Amino acid sequence: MVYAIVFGALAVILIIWFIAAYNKFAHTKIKVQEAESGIDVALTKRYDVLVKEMEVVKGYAKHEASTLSEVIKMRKGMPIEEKVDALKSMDSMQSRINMLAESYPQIRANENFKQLQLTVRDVEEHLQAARRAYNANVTIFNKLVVSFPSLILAKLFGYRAFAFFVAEDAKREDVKMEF
Amino acid sequence: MHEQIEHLETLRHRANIWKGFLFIVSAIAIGVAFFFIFGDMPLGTEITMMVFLVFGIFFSVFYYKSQSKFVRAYKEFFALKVFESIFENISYEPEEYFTKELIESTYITSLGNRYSGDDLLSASYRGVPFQQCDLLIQNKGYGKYSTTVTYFKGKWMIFDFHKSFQGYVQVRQKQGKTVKPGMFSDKPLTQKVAMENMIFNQIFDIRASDDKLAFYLLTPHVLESIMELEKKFDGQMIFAFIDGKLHIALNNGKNAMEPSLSTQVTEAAADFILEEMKIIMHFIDVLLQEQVMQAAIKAK
Repeated sequence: MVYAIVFGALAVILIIWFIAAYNKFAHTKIKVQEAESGIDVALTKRYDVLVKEMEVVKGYAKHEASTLSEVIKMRKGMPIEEKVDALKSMDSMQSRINMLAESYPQIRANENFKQLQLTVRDVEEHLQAARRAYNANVTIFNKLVVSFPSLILAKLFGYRAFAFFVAEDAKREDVKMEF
Repeated sequence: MHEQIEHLETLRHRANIWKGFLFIVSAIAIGVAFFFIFGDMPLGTEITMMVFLVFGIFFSVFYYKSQSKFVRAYKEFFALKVFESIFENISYEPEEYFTKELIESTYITSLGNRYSGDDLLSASYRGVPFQQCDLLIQNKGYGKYSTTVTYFKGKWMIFDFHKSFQGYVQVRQKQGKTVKPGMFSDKPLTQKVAMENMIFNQIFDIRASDDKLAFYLLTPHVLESIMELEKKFDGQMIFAFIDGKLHIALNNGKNAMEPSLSTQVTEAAADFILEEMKIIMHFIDVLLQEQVMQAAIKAK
């Protein structure tokens, strides 16, 4: 009788733990996916602004327009590594646009371009926030995947660690500030 | 400066003299009342009591007036002197404070049934407008034993935040003096958010209407600055980002601009007020640095 009670109690504890751990996995996975969709939205916005900037720049710097011909691959549902590559391509394109804008004062004076530059800043801040939100949720999920006893459940349901959205090297460097 | 301090000292002494008279009259009146109740009532006790009562009221009025005069002069001199040395567009109203409705809308603290404050300052620092005041929020319970619980005593600051946003993010220090939590049940959209900074998560609880908004507002630089502030100042700190505004509530049980009658007035009083203003200056510096840093990253 005593064994039956002990066994029953252990079984109840195990079931409660199983449900709690499963829900924790499911909840965190949803948060990761939400954060990833946030990155998608920010990347798409960034891409749209970049295209608009390119149009403005091409209007003034026809000869140098060929330097802006790099293809940025953007497609729905691409893995996080490809998103990182897309962001790198956008950063590289943005640098070239900025360089051309430096050489052509007419571009810098263009009201539309000025507005787009402000939008770029805002979009980049949103992108940075989405990236941090994604990485923070991935950290929580990946900890569950590798920690005991939740790793048992991860193996059982085939959960694998998510890849981090790694910031490009240029953004990691210290920023020199002048006041 | 020296003349002003001498003048303040004269006012303080005057207030202390009236306080002394009031104390003596009260003590004698209590003694007479004791005889009146427990001893043989000598002839004319009622008249004596009436005389003491009149003197008591008389001294109370003079004490209150002289104390108010000292406090007003102290604030007008020291507070304004400090404010004018660091801020622009100053409007200082010693008797005013934020409305109860405004504080209620922040979901930072419960409001109890006693709400008061003073020293409302509106100004700008490095071009950023802000407002601040001292608040005292308490709840008095009337039962068999009456109890007064202080929910909040300290400084409340409101800034115009440099990013425009719609939503709600609250950062609440876990340790320190406890503030009765705001009524989150009335704010169903708030969810708990964990930042990537583990130390920050250990010190603060973060709740937001949208976790992406929390990451957008609480950049690594802002997180570091909040932790720096937490180290520098005693008391519990709560930050609430609400629809383009930032509220900082410092529940430290102090009212920096309230002078004590028992403490001599010295030039150091200005330093004490200045120390309290450093929260505002620190945070505005952080926000401005943040703008410069974002621009620098973008330019790379």
